Amino acid sequence: MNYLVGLTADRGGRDALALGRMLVRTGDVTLTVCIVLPEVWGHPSLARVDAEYAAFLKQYAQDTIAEAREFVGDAVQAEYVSTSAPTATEGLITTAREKDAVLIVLGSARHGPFGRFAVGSVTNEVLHTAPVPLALTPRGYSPASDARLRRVTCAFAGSTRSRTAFDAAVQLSKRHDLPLRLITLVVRDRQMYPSQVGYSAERLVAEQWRAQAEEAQNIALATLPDDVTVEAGVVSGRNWEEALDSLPWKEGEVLVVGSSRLGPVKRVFLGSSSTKIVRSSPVPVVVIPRGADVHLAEDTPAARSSDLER
Amino acid sequence: MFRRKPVDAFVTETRPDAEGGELSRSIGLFQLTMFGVGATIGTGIFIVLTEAVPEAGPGVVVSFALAGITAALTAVCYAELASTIPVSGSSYSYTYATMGEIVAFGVAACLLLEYGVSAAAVSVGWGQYLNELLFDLFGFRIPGAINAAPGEGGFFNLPAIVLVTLCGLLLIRGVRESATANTIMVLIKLAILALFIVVGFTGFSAENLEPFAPFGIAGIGAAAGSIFFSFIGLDAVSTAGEEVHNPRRNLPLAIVFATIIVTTFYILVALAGVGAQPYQQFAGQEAGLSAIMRNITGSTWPAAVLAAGATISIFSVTLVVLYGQSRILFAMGRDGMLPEIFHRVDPRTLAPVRNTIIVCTFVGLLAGFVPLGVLIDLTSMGTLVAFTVVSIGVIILRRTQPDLPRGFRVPGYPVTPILSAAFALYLISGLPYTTFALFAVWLGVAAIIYFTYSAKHSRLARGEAVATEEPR
Repeated sequence: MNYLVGLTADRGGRDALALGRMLVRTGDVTLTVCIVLPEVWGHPSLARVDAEYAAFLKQYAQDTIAEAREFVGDAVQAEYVSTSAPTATEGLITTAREKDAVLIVLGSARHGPFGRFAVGSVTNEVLHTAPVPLALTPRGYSPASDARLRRVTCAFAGSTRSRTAFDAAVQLSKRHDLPLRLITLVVRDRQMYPSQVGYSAERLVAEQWRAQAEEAQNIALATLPDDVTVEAGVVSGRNWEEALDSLPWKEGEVLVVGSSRLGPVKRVFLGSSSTKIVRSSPVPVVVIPRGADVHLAEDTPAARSSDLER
Repeated sequence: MFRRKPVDAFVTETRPDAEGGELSRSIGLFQLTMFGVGATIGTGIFIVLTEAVPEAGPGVVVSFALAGITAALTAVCYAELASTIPVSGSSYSYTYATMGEIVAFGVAACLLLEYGVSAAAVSVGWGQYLNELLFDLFGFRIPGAINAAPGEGGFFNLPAIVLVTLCGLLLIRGVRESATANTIMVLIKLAILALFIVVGFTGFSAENLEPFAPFGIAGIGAAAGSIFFSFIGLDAVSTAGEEVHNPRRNLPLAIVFATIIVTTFYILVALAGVGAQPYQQFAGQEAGLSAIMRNITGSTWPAAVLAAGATISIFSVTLVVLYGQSRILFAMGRDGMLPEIFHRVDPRTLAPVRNTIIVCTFVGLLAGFVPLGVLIDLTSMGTLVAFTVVSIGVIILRRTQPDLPRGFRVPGYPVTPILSAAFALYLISGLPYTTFALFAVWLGVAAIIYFTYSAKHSRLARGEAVATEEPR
């Protein structure tokens, strides 16, 4: 079993590395740290500028990897690779396939608030093409160097998509032998003005949603084997951030969400609550893209996904 | 059948969450007034002259005043009930608490007219102004065959259906209009109405006001009934109760201010309109206000500006009204009066999606296939009946539960609610007989639904203790 970290030489890469190190400390998992370099033109060029550039890249990769190696330390089993690809996304996904990685760990873009994850251009692409789940690291994530995963929380809404997330969370908790927590978020951030039916109308909707969520949770929990420690709850807030912050979080906790991978048009009309959760979560988020191969529990290599060709 | 839902049951259902879900009392007098104006202007004024002036002649100005007074009186009654029973569901919930289930169901049927049918009427009006805008800007119109209901020389009304569909998509997506957006909308509406008034008075001719009331008092009363349609929404102020800062002072003041602003604008618009052209010309005039502007100025740009403003603001009103309708059905679903489908929240968008789809389909069909005049009169009918019941409800609740805490009390009780009911009944009496017939059919359908489904499935009937439900 292998997790892949997408390494960059900036703070986001360091954060991802910290998360990767923490994730593989338990559960008999190895780490592959991969730096993707731009492809160079294979032919000799005038004045050998190309070779010079290639040499620079090589040196750069070596330096970055050396730093990463020092950061990760010897306590976990890790392999360091550099690969050249036309795009960072392609390099990451090819490497994930070669190394049979079942999870890709990514750092945040720089524009987000500290302590939350911001989707950058690479993450956005990977989110839409990755054949396996992704772990997204909040900005400035710095667990203690010997920290390990303590709990898996699953954001659950009772839809088919969250069934996938739930299954993945169960697998993750089995592999790392962790307690599981099932949460549903009730968010009432939208109010109509003027309302002709009273402003408690949305509260009525929220209450109904809470009831439905509890029902769905119970159905999901009933399918669990007895050996999984699990707690479930519904939290509410005026917006996603408030709802997520109102929960107690352990150091070394991750949040699992399903993602729908909507097309551009559908995204405009439907939006996506997983995007909002990703942006608002105070802990690393494991996103399960629709159609991704989830092999977090058993020690089998990830099957090839038709998603790659899509 | 006459079982009532206890007031505390309502309160328990919508009690604020433990984790700071309580809405803050943040709405001040200005915003509250804006809510009233925003919810009201746009429902009718852009289209109602075409229907009302042929009934009353220039005396339509008096009809507006009559309808305005009625609206203000009932809005005050709404405010008392809203402050006593602070729940969503509007008059449906108030009636459920005061007069029992079957009356509540009847009121809900009326509300379907007030919201659903008015949304249809408003979107038909939207189509007219869109058409006018296209004509003023680009010189073409949407062909009549797909721009009018069957009774009016077309096959169906495509623009109206498109508008309802768009609003439905937004609601499903979970879009809401913010308080700021509402204020902007209000300013747009007032600006274009002011433009109409100013331009209209340049073409004012006193000759057009003669004869003032060609159809007598009866005509004025009849027109007031139809016009009442354009005052729908004033009750929006009263439902804001729990979010209002100092409701005792601000609620009645906001209702009064909103009524004054709205009625003043309406009367001026009506005066400018009837002064600008003989009353006989109003009948059948599409996108009436724009057409009048074009005739006065002889140029298209003022008409285009007005049409553009109307297109934007009617859109926002349709959105709000469709939203209100879906939430009323939601409240009924939770009481077991309607099937569970009205009461499911979609896990993806956290909105009652199927409910919204059903509402929009219903409204879309009405908008596409029923003539505007019928829709307007039906809406007025439903609204006036609901308002009458609310006024009576105030009196009943004062008698049955005099000790309930009331955030706001009707001034001049019992004269005000009685006057309010009397005015509403007078306006009803002016509506055409076909409207009465359609209304009777509609109530009949509602009764069938009630006795075949709701009476058996009602949560109160099934003895589910709504009030003692364990708070989660």
